[in-house]
Amino acid sequence: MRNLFRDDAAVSVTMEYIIFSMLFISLFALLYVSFGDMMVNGPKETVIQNKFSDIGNMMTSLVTDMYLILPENGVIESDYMIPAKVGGESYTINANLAMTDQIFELVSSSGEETSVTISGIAITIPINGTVSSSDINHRISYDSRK
Amino acid sequence: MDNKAQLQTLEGLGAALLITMTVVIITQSATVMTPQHEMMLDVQFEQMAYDALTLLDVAPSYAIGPNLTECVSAWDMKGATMDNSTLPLLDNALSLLLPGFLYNVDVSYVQNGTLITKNTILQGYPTEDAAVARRTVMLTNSTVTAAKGKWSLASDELQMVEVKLTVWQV
Amino acid sequence: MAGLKDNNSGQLIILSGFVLCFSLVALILLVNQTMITGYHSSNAVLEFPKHQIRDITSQTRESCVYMTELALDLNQSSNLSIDHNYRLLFDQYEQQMAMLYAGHGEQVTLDLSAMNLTSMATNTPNINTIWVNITYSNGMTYYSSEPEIIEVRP
Repeated sequence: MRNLFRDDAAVSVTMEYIIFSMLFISLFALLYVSFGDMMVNGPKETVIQNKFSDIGNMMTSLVTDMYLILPENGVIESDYMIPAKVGGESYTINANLAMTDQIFELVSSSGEETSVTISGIAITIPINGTVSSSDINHRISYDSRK
Repeated sequence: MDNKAQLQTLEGLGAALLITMTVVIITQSATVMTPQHEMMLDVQFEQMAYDALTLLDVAPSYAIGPNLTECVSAWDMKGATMDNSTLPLLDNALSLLLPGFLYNVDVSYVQNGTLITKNTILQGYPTEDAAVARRTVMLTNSTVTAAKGKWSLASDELQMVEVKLTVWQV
Repeated sequence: MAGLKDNNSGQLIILSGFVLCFSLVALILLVNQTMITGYHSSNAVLEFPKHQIRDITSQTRESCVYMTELALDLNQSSNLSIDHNYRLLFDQYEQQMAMLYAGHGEQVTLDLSAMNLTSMATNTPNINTIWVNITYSNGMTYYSSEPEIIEVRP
């Protein structure tokens, strides 16, 4: 026993072992805690933001194109297709003038939100409506007689 | 205890981490990006093709030479072979408007209740991301006589002709 | 660990690792910049039949003016009325346009709903008008202009 206490060879090896273990344990603990945010939520947020601005731009370019060819007396109706889910979540497209000003608003079920402007078009033709991505039909319609 | 070559182990770890991150990032961004870029090009392409046809159709003939109606009126009713167009006037005008592009032009018209389509300018076979533009023109006896074409139209007859322009780039 | 401090070989490998790392980061930043252009926004522009509808309406306006001149000419060479000649010409126009567009899966109907060309025979400088109903449909988009009012002058 006495020999055991006096023998101080390989202390640094033990210390190294302990220090490295602690370092890696804390590193993995940190990773474990933030793994969800880093690997799932972060990319998902980016995907949703990108897709939303893409779909928002689609809506505005559709409205602009329709505005350019509106008949003086008549009707124009256009169906469009949007993905039912973005980043695994359904969403609503909101163009309610009472609530938003000259803007298309896309809101996902988890609360992610993106707005796209429609410039001055809403001054000449009122744009109104709300649609959910899970609806079967999506349609923009204009009737000069209403 | 063997404590040699620790740096090699660390290097291996580092390399593995780098490779994993690169693969993850590239797959995530590349799959989202590629098709969009092509689509945007398609949009510009289509707009350009329509612009060329619209310009030729609506511009007065004193401004640009023969316009689309006059070009089509002058057609000799023959189909084209490769690099040998039967609408030389239109070919001229288009080569000025679409420099560096290849294009085909087909005409479609209705005769005795059937739809006839013929090639008039044939420069090759379009690639996958070619753009198509169409424009209709109206021919009458007087436009055909003025342009010395081979259409046979009575004085009370109209001929609607659809000009289809296919543009692509190699 | 003790040997690490004194070992200074292979520095170039580490340096090249860093260079690669930074260039990758720069590339990723660039890639993210190009993601502004979107799939749905481009697709909507390509799919929406803006050019077709414009072609139909502008061609109809142009043709109606031209057909008026032709109907007037025919009226002087034969004893049929301007209205009668005009209807015959418009029938041809309507049928051929419908067939041309049906050739690529689009439905176009043109319908002459009313016209006011009687004053043209007397050569009074009145504004003469033609009412044409235009409808277009390609399954996704429906357009109708009822009526499209077209002014024609002798």
